[in-house]
Amino acid sequence: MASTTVKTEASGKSRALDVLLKVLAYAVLVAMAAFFLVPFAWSLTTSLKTPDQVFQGNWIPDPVSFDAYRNVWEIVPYGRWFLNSLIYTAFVTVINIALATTAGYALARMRFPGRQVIFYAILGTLMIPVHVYLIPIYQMMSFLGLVDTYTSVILVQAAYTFGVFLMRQFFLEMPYELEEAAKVDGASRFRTFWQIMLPLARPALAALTIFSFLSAWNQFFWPFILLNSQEKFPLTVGLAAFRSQYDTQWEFLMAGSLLALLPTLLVFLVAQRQIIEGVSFTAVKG
Amino acid sequence: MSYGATSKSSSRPRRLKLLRPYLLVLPAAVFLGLFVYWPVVLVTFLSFFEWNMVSPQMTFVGLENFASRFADPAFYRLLFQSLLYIAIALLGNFLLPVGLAMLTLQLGGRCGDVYQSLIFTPTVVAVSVGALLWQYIYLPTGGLLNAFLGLFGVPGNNWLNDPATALGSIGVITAWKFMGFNYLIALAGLMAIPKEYLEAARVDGAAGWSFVRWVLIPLLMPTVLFVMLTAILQALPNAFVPIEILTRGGPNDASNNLLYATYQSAFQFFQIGKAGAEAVMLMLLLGGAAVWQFRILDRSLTYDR
Repeated sequence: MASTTVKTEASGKSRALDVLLKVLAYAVLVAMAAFFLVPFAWSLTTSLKTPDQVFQGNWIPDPVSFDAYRNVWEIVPYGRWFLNSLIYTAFVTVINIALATTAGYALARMRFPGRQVIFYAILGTLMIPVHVYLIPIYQMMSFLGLVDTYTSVILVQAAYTFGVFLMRQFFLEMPYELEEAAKVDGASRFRTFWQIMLPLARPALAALTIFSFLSAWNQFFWPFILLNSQEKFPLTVGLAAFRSQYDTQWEFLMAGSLLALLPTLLVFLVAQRQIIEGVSFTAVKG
Repeated sequence: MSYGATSKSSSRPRRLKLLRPYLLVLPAAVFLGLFVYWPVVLVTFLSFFEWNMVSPQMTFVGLENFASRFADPAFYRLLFQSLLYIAIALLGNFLLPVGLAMLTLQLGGRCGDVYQSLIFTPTVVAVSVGALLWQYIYLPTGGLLNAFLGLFGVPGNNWLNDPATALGSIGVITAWKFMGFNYLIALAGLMAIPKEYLEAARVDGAAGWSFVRWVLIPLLMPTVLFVMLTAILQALPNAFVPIEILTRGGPNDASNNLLYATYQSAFQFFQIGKAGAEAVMLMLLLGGAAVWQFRILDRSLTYDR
C-alpha cells in the first residue's frame, strides 16, 4: 500500500530523471564492456595480419594470414617456453595443494598451543608485497647455488597463503559430527582426514587447484628475477624478452600472447562458477 | 579392518599424537618463514649497511640510508607519484568496480552473468601478457588508441613515452587487469545482504539514488571498506609488472613509484643499503595500512552484528 502512494506521488520530473539515469547506467555498462573486451579483440585481429598491415591501424585484416601462429614456434623457442610453463605450473600446483590442505586442516580442525599465532603469521604474509624482500631471496638462492634453476622458481612459490586460507575456511564449516562418527567407528585421524574429510572437501580442492594453476601459470615476477637462461623461461617471461628483441613484429607477439592466454581462458570458461564462488567465499566469509 | 586401525593407533606413542598438528602445519609454515619472514629480517639488517651486492666490503652506516632518502628531493617525487597511483587505483579498482557491481546486480539474469564473466576475464590473464596487449594499443603508429582518436580529429600521442601520460597509461592497465577481482568481492558483498532488508526498504518507498545512498551503501559498508583498502594496498604492487615491461619507470622517472624504485635501487644500481631502507619504509607504510584495514574491518563487522 505504501509503495503505491509513493509511485503516484512521484512526479513526471523525477520519473524522467530515473529514465535518464537508466540510460546513463546502460551507457556506462556498454563502455566498460568495450574496455574489457577491446584489448583481446585487437590482439586477435593483429595476430591475423600480414607484417605490412601491422602499423596501419586497421581492424579487419586483409588479407587474413595465419603465418604468425605457424612461425612463432620457430622464431623463438616458444615450444620450450610453453613446456617450461607447464613444468613450473605442475610442480607448483601439486606442492601448493599438499601444503595448503594439510595446514588448512590442522588450523581448522585441531586444537594445539600456538594455533592462532601460526594462523595470523601465515595470514600476515599477505600484507607484505614480495617486491620488498626480493633482494634477500635472490641472495639466499645465489648462496644455495639455485639462481637460474627450475628449483628456485618452484620453491619460492611452494606455499600459497591464499590456498591455506581457503582450505581452512572450508574445513571450519564442516560439521564436527562427521569426525566424531569416524572416531567412534575406530578410524585413525589420518584415515578420517584421507577418507572422509578430503573427499568431502572436493569443491574446495577444485577451487584451490584452479587458483593455484592460474597463479603459477601467470607468474612473471619470480622467474623474471631468478632466471637468466632463455631456455628456462616460462611463457610470461619469454614473451616479454621476445618483445624487447623483436620490437616491430607485433603479429608474432600478439599470436604468442594469445596462445599463452589460451590455457587460462579455457580454465576460466570451464570452471567459471568455482572461480567466482571461490573469490566470493573467501572474501565474504573471511 | 577398523579394529586393526584402532589397536595400531592406540599403540603409538602419545608424544607423536601431540606433535601431529605441528607436522601438518610445518611444511607451509617453514616455506613462508623461509621465503617471507626471514627475508624481511635480512632486508631490515641490510638497510643499515652500504653494500653493492658483490663486493665483500659491507660498511655499517646506521640510519644514514634512511636519512639520505628524506634529504633527497627525488624521494618526495616518488612519494607523490605513488599517491597518484593510489588515486588511480581508488578510481579504477574501487569506485568503478563497486559502482559496476551495483549496476549489474540490477541487470540480473543471463545478461548479468555474461557481464560478470566479461569483467573478470582480464583477472585470469597474466599481467605481463596484459601489458603486452596494451602496449600495442598505446603504440604511436598503428596503435588502436591513436587510430580511434584520429576518427575525431584528435591528434595522437606517444602515450608511454610522454612524461605527462606515462603514469596514467600504466594506471589504466592496472585498472583493466585488477578490476574484476574487486568487482566480484563487491558483488558478493551485495548479494550477501539479506533480501528482506532490501524489500523492506522498497516497501518504505526508497528508490533510485536514495535507495543506493541510504540503503545499499550503509549495508555494504564492510565490503566497501574492504575493497577500498585492498585497492590502496595493491596499487603499487599491481603496477610493478606493467612498469617493468613498458616504461621501466620512465621517461625521466615520470611513471616511477616507491615500490619500483626500490627494485631499481637493488637490481639496476646495486645500492643494496638504499634499496633496503626503501623496502623497510614501504613495508612499514603498507603493513601499517594493512593492520589498519584489519582493525576497521573487525570493528565494522562487530558493529554489524
